[in-house]
Amino acid sequence: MLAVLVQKIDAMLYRRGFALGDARRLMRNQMLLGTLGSVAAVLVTGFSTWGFSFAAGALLISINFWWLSKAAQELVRVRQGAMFTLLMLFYGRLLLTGAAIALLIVWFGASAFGLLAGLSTVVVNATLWGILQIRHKVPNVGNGKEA
Amino acid sequence: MRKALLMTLAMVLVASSAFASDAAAPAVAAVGPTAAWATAIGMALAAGLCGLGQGMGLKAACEGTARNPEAGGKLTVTLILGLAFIESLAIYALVVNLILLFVKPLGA
Repeated sequence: MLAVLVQKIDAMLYRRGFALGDARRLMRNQMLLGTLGSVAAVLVTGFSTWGFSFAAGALLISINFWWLSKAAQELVRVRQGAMFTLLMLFYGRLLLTGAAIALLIVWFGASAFGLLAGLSTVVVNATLWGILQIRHKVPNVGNGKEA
Repeated sequence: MRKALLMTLAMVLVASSAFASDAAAPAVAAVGPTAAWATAIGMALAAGLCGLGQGMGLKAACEGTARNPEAGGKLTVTLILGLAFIESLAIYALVVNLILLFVKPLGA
Protein backbone atom coordinates (compact mmCIF):
# COMPACT_ATOMS: atom_id res chain seq x y z
CA MET A 1 0.00 0.00 0.00
CA LEU A 2 2.65 2.46 1.12
CA ALA A 3 5.06 1.21 -1.55
CA VAL A 4 2.45 1.85 -4.26
CA LEU A 5 1.78 5.32 -2.87
CA VAL A 6 5.51 6.08 -2.79
CA GLN A 7 5.87 4.88 -6.39
CA LYS A 8 2.97 7.04 -7.51
CA ILE A 9 4.35 10.11 -5.74
CA ASP A 10 7.80 9.46 -7.22
CA ALA A 11 6.35 9.16 -10.72
CA MET A 12 4.37 12.37 -10.27
CA LEU A 13 7.45 14.22 -9.00
CA TYR A 14 9.53 12.93 -11.92
CA ARG A 15 6.93 14.20 -14.37
CA ARG A 16 6.98 17.59 -12.62
CA GLY A 17 10.71 18.05 -13.13
CA PHE A 18 12.34 16.39 -10.11
CA ALA A 19 14.84 14.49 -12.23
CA LEU A 20 17.43 14.14 -9.46
CA GLY A 21 16.78 11.01 -7.40
CA ASP A 22 17.78 12.37 -3.99
CA ALA A 23 15.87 15.63 -4.48
CA ARG A 24 12.81 13.60 -5.46
CA ARG A 25 13.08 11.41 -2.34
CA LEU A 26 13.52 14.51 -0.15
CA MET A 27 10.41 16.12 -1.61
CA ARG A 28 8.44 12.88 -1.32
CA ASN A 29 9.46 12.54 2.36
CA GLN A 30 8.35 16.12 2.97
CA MET A 31 4.98 15.44 1.35
CA LEU A 32 4.44 12.28 3.37
CA LEU A 33 5.65 13.87 6.63
CA GLY A 34 3.48 16.94 6.11
CA THR A 35 0.38 14.93 5.22
CA LEU A 36 0.73 12.31 7.96
CA GLY A 37 1.70 14.95 10.54
CA SER A 38 -1.28 17.12 9.61
CA VAL A 39 -3.74 14.23 9.78
CA ALA A 40 -2.29 13.14 13.13
CA ALA A 41 -2.36 16.70 14.51
CA VAL A 42 -5.97 17.28 13.44
CA LEU A 43 -7.15 13.91 14.80
CA VAL A 44 -5.16 13.97 18.05
CA THR A 45 -6.20 17.50 18.96
CA GLY A 46 -9.84 16.74 18.14
CA PHE A 47 -10.25 19.04 15.12
CA SER A 48 -9.01 22.02 17.14
CA THR A 49 -7.56 25.28 15.83
CA TRP A 50 -4.07 24.06 16.76
CA GLY A 51 -4.42 21.02 14.50
CA PHE A 52 -5.68 23.03 11.54
CA SER A 53 -2.92 25.60 12.12
CA PHE A 54 -0.37 22.77 12.04
CA ALA A 55 -1.87 21.54 8.76
CA ALA A 56 -1.79 25.05 7.28
CA GLY A 57 1.85 25.52 8.34
CA ALA A 58 2.84 22.13 6.91
CA LEU A 59 1.07 22.87 3.61
CA LEU A 60 2.68 26.30 3.38
CA ILE A 61 6.20 25.03 4.03
CA SER A 62 5.73 22.07 1.67
CA ILE A 63 4.77 24.42 -1.18
CA ASN A 64 7.73 26.59 -0.24
CA PHE A 65 10.07 23.57 -0.25
CA TRP A 66 8.71 22.39 -3.61
CA TRP A 67 9.45 25.77 -5.15
CA LEU A 68 12.88 25.93 -3.52
CA SER A 69 14.05 22.48 -4.58
CA LYS A 70 12.87 22.95 -8.16
CA ALA A 71 14.66 26.29 -8.34
CA ALA A 72 17.84 24.91 -6.76
CA GLN A 73 18.03 22.07 -9.32
CA GLU A 74 17.90 24.59 -12.12
CA LEU A 75 20.12 27.23 -10.54
CA VAL A 76 23.15 24.97 -10.04
CA ARG A 77 23.39 24.55 -13.81
CA VAL A 78 22.93 28.24 -14.61
CA ARG A 79 26.20 30.00 -15.28
CA GLN A 80 25.07 33.63 -15.24
CA GLY A 81 22.62 35.49 -13.06
CA ALA A 82 22.03 32.59 -10.67
CA MET A 83 22.63 34.68 -7.55
CA PHE A 84 20.19 37.42 -8.59
CA THR A 85 17.54 34.87 -9.52
CA LEU A 86 18.01 33.02 -6.21
CA LEU A 87 17.68 36.22 -4.20
CA MET A 88 14.61 37.34 -6.11
CA LEU A 89 13.01 33.93 -5.65
CA PHE A 90 13.91 33.95 -1.94
CA TYR A 91 12.42 37.37 -1.31
CA GLY A 92 9.38 36.56 -3.44
CA ARG A 93 8.77 33.36 -1.49
CA LEU A 94 9.32 35.15 1.81
CA LEU A 95 6.86 37.87 0.81
CA LEU A 96 4.16 35.40 -0.22
CA THR A 97 4.75 33.22 2.86
CA GLY A 98 4.61 36.29 5.08
CA ALA A 99 1.35 37.42 3.52
CA ALA A 100 -0.15 33.94 3.92
CA ILE A 101 0.97 33.60 7.56
CA ALA A 102 -0.27 37.11 8.39
CA LEU A 103 -3.64 36.29 6.83
CA LEU A 104 -3.83 33.03 8.77
CA ILE A 105 -2.96 34.66 12.10
CA VAL A 106 -4.89 37.92 11.76
CA TRP A 107 -7.99 36.99 9.76
CA PHE A 108 -8.46 33.29 10.43
CA GLY A 109 -7.22 33.39 14.04
CA ALA A 110 -4.78 30.53 13.54
CA SER A 111 -2.67 29.39 16.47
CA ALA A 112 0.82 30.84 16.04
CA PHE A 113 2.42 27.90 17.84
CA GLY A 114 0.51 25.41 15.71
CA LEU A 115 1.74 27.23 12.62
CA LEU A 116 5.31 27.16 13.96
CA ALA A 117 5.04 23.42 14.56
CA GLY A 118 3.70 22.89 11.03
CA LEU A 119 6.44 25.05 9.55
CA SER A 120 9.01 22.95 11.42
CA THR A 121 8.17 19.81 9.41
CA VAL A 122 10.73 20.80 6.77
CA VAL A 123 13.43 21.14 9.43
CA VAL A 124 12.48 17.73 10.85
CA ASN A 125 12.58 16.25 7.34
CA ALA A 126 15.98 17.74 6.54
CA THR A 127 17.41 16.70 9.91
CA LEU A 128 16.14 13.14 9.53
CA TRP A 129 17.58 13.01 6.03
CA GLY A 130 20.97 14.22 7.31
CA ILE A 131 20.99 11.70 10.17
CA LEU A 132 20.10 8.84 7.80
CA GLN A 133 22.83 9.91 5.36
CA ILE A 134 25.41 9.96 8.15
CA ARG A 135 24.27 6.52 9.33
CA HIS A 136 24.62 5.14 5.82
CA LYS A 137 28.13 6.53 5.50
CA VAL A 138 29.45 5.09 8.78
CA PRO A 139 31.73 2.18 7.83
CA ASN A 140 31.31 -1.14 9.52
CA VAL A 141 34.06 -1.55 12.09
CA GLY A 142 35.40 -5.07 12.26
CA ASN A 143 36.78 -6.89 15.26
CA GLY A 144 40.35 -6.92 13.97
CA LYS A 145 40.34 -10.57 13.02
CA GLU A 146 39.32 -10.14 9.38
CA ALA A 147 42.87 -10.31 8.08
CA MET B 1 35.23 50.02 13.45
CA ARG B 2 32.71 47.23 13.01
CA LYS B 3 32.72 46.55 16.77
CA ALA B 4 32.05 50.21 17.53
CA LEU B 5 29.19 50.25 15.04
CA LEU B 6 27.61 47.15 16.55
CA MET B 7 28.05 48.50 20.08
CA THR B 8 26.40 51.79 19.09
CA LEU B 9 23.51 49.95 17.49
CA ALA B 10 23.07 47.76 20.58
CA MET B 11 23.16 50.79 22.89
CA VAL B 12 20.60 52.65 20.79
CA LEU B 13 18.27 49.66 20.84
CA VAL B 14 18.67 49.12 24.60
CA ALA B 15 18.25 52.84 25.30
CA SER B 16 15.07 53.13 23.25
CA SER B 17 13.46 50.19 25.05
CA ALA B 18 14.58 51.60 28.41
CA PHE B 19 13.07 54.99 27.58
CA ALA B 20 9.91 53.26 26.41
CA SER B 21 9.46 51.60 29.81
CA ASP B 22 10.24 54.74 31.79
CA ALA B 23 6.81 55.64 33.11
CA ALA B 24 4.29 53.05 34.22
CA ALA B 25 1.14 54.16 32.40
CA PRO B 26 2.66 55.32 29.07
CA ALA B 27 4.84 52.22 29.04
CA VAL B 28 1.90 50.00 28.10
CA ALA B 29 0.95 52.34 25.27
CA ALA B 30 4.57 52.57 24.13
CA VAL B 31 4.86 48.81 23.64
CA GLY B 32 3.10 49.18 20.27
CA PRO B 33 5.62 51.41 18.50
CA THR B 34 8.52 49.67 20.21
CA ALA B 35 7.23 46.31 19.03
CA ALA B 36 6.78 47.76 15.53
CA TRP B 37 10.36 49.00 15.47
CA ALA B 38 11.63 45.72 16.89
CA THR B 39 9.77 43.68 14.27
CA ALA B 40 10.95 45.93 11.45
CA ILE B 41 14.60 45.71 12.52
CA GLY B 42 14.33 42.01 13.30
CA MET B 43 12.79 41.14 9.96
CA ALA B 44 15.26 43.31 8.05
CA LEU B 45 18.20 41.62 9.78
CA ALA B 46 16.74 38.14 9.33
CA ALA B 47 15.86 38.61 5.66
CA GLY B 48 19.14 40.29 4.79
CA LEU B 49 21.36 37.78 6.56
CA CYS B 50 19.39 34.77 5.32
CA GLY B 51 19.63 36.13 1.76
CA LEU B 52 23.38 36.51 2.25
CA GLY B 53 23.62 32.95 3.54
CA GLN B 54 21.63 31.54 0.63
CA GLY B 55 23.76 33.46 -1.85
CA MET B 56 26.99 32.14 -0.30
CA GLY B 57 25.62 28.59 -0.34
CA LEU B 58 24.65 28.82 -4.00
CA LYS B 59 28.02 30.37 -4.88
CA ALA B 60 29.86 27.47 -3.25
CA ALA B 61 27.59 24.89 -4.93
CA CYS B 62 28.10 26.50 -8.35
CA GLU B 63 31.87 26.54 -7.87
CA GLY B 64 31.84 22.92 -6.73
CA THR B 65 29.75 21.83 -9.70
CA ALA B 66 31.99 23.74 -12.10
CA ARG B 67 35.10 22.05 -10.66
CA ASN B 68 33.59 18.58 -10.48
CA PRO B 69 30.46 18.21 -12.61
CA GLU B 70 30.05 14.54 -11.60
CA ALA B 71 29.40 15.59 -8.00
CA GLY B 72 26.63 17.94 -9.14
CA GLY B 73 23.81 15.70 -7.91
CA LYS B 74 25.14 15.37 -4.37
CA LEU B 75 25.97 19.07 -4.26
CA THR B 76 22.45 19.97 -5.37
CA VAL B 77 20.86 17.90 -2.61
CA THR B 78 23.19 19.43 -0.02
CA LEU B 79 22.36 22.86 -1.44
CA ILE B 80 18.62 22.17 -1.18
CA LEU B 81 19.02 21.10 2.46
CA GLY B 82 21.09 24.17 3.28
CA LEU B 83 18.65 26.51 1.54
CA ALA B 84 15.72 24.87 3.35
CA PHE B 85 17.40 25.34 6.72
CA ILE B 86 18.23 28.98 5.99
CA GLU B 87 14.77 29.70 4.65
CA SER B 88 13.12 28.11 7.67
CA LEU B 89 15.18 30.45 9.86
CA ALA B 90 13.83 33.43 7.94
CA ILE B 91 10.28 32.07 8.25
CA TYR B 92 10.73 31.50 11.99
CA ALA B 93 11.84 35.11 12.34
CA LEU B 94 8.81 36.17 10.30
CA VAL B 95 6.41 34.21 12.51
CA VAL B 96 7.99 35.55 15.70
CA ASN B 97 7.68 39.08 14.31
CA LEU B 98 4.06 38.48 13.37
CA ILE B 99 3.40 37.16 16.88
CA LEU B 100 4.97 40.32 18.30
CA LEU B 101 2.84 42.48 16.00
CA PHE B 102 -0.55 40.76 16.09
CA VAL B 103 -0.69 38.31 19.01
CA LYS B 104 1.00 40.92 21.26
CA PRO B 105 2.46 38.77 24.00
CA LEU B 106 3.99 41.91 25.55
CA GLY B 107 0.63 43.60 25.95
CA ALA B 108 -0.84 46.73 24.34
